[in-house]
Amino acid sequence: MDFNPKLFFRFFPQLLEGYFFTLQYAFIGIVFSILLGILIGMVMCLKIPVVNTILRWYIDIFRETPLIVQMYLLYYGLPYVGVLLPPAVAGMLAIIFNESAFTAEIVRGGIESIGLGQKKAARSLGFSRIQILLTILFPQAMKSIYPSLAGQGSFILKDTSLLTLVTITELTSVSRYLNSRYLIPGTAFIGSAIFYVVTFWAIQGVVSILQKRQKWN
Amino acid sequence: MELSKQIIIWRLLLLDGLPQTFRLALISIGSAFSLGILLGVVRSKKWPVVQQVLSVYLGIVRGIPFLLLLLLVYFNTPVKGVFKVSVVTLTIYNSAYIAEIIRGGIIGLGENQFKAGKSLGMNSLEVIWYVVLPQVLNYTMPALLGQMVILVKGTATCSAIGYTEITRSGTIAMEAYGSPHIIYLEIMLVYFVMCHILTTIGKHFEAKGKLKMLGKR
Amino acid sequence: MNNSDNSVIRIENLSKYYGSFHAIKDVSLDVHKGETHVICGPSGSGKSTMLFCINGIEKYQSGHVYFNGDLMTPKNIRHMRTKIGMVFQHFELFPHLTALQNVTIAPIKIQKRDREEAEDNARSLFKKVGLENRMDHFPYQLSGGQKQRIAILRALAMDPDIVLFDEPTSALDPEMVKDVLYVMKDLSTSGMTMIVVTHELGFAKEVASHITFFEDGQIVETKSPDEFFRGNGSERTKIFLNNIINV
Repeated sequence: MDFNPKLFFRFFPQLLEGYFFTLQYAFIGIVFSILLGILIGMVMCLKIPVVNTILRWYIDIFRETPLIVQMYLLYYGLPYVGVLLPPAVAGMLAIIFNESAFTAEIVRGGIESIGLGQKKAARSLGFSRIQILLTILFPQAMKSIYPSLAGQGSFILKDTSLLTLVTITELTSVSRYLNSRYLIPGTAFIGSAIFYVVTFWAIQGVVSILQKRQKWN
Repeated sequence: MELSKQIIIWRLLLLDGLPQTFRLALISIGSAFSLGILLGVVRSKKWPVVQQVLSVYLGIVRGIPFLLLLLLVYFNTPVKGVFKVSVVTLTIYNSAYIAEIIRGGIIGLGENQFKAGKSLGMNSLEVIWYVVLPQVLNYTMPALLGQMVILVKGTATCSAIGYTEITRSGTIAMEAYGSPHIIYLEIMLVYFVMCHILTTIGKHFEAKGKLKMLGKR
Repeated sequence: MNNSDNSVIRIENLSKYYGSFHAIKDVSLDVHKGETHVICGPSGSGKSTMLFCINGIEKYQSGHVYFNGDLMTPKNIRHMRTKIGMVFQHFELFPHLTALQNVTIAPIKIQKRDREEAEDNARSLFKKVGLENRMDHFPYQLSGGQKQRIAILRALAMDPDIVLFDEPTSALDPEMVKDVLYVMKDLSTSGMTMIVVTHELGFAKEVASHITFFEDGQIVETKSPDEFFRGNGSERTKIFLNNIINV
């Protein structure tokens, strides 16, 4: 495990640059996948016949197939059917769709775990199903699921490393470049690992605080 | 696409690629579960120094993207050969999550069963083997199956370092015959079938578990 | 190795702390062969904790426990446990094993007995309590009274020198308490040495050889059943008795 601190400092700027790309991609991924996931999760709770089946398939397919294959499908396959997207967009779409499926399940699970009594009480007061969902069920569900949602952040962060396989520049691709150019696998890969682990621990810290706060409630 | 091309591609995928996926997945599941259960049991004990070390180790393993871990093992360890590197990486990565699942299960079981086993004269290992693990494995089966799904999906990423399983076979086919939009969809179908079977088994366990809980007096 | 006086369990100056809380305060007790010691007292007084200290399930900070005259040490405790039976308040049967397997697992795996021999022995135990038709059932299919009786069989299958009971009937519905007490009375009259932590003073009156009143981490006094119920004891015992009887 040949990690050379001197080399690490020498290439720190490049790694940092890659890290910033990673953070940006992660941010976009988190925002959009959570928004989309919440939307899908909530719509599923309305149990509209055809829509529900389609969404169920969407969730199952994206959760039960590998992200890398989804990325390849969008990156290599879309141009074949005439859709030309920048690589970053294709890659990010794969991440967003993929993680939105997981988020949707979290949201759906959270909402459905709220007792029947609440729904009955709201119905008896004259609320419509959508109103119940938005004003009563969703806020309550959010209270119990936001640590899981925060945890999604660390998954999306790790997903961004696959972008290097579709020629996008981010932290992992920088480390691969450094390795192939200077033959310093220890410094390059352990170096980028340090960035990922520190970020992961920061997210875990936030999740822990959120979980503790939730237990108090 | 003409039928003959389709047949060639399917042959590549199913006869060349898929068996390699199975081989990698089955062996890795065996080693990941063995290591994961061992780590999980150790994690549930009250040994301060070991806990600290393990916490850090698990935090690192779970904090690095799987692709980066593959590269680390490939370039920085004495493990040689794409297959071995893939097995080792899948084992290290997934055993970390399995350890947490098992540890949670052991803690959830509570101390009393442990005390009962000890009162009969069993030593700690005997209690864990005869009393605790059978119950914990049964109880955490849905989560463990979920982890198996993650492992199977992880085999796809191993294509990035050159292991020729089904995803890489697909890429090779694409480079020879084109039509990536169809090829990758077909690959997704294969993964979907495999993972959906696992998830369905998991749901079966979850339902069985709930029945037993209700049947308890 | 001196056991001329037939002591099965001797506790000497046992002390246990939970952090700074002194849970067991310098307790000493001597139980001889064939005796049935009932230990009673208010909830939270530490009587169950003391029972768990006897076979080392709970650790203690100072004091000694002797089994058949031999000092209990971490080295020999596991072997001693095979000769000390224990019955828990919440039965603690192993839910993934059948009733028969629950009773035979320790004799087979720990005492290394032959499977056939262990199963035959277990079968005759089941017959004695009338539960032979439940041998292949799982705990979740059984009532509390059945589970507790099987838990007693699990302890007896090891052929112990003494059986410790921790509030064996407290978690049972009233109809089932009788069945379990019947088994315990039978066991006592057949000569088994027993220490029973319980609130069932009727049981104590019938078969106990000694009744110990335990309060606040200490033994207040130990008396014969006659003296105990006649109220020839200390003030605290009398108060406790009054509270129980006037309920």
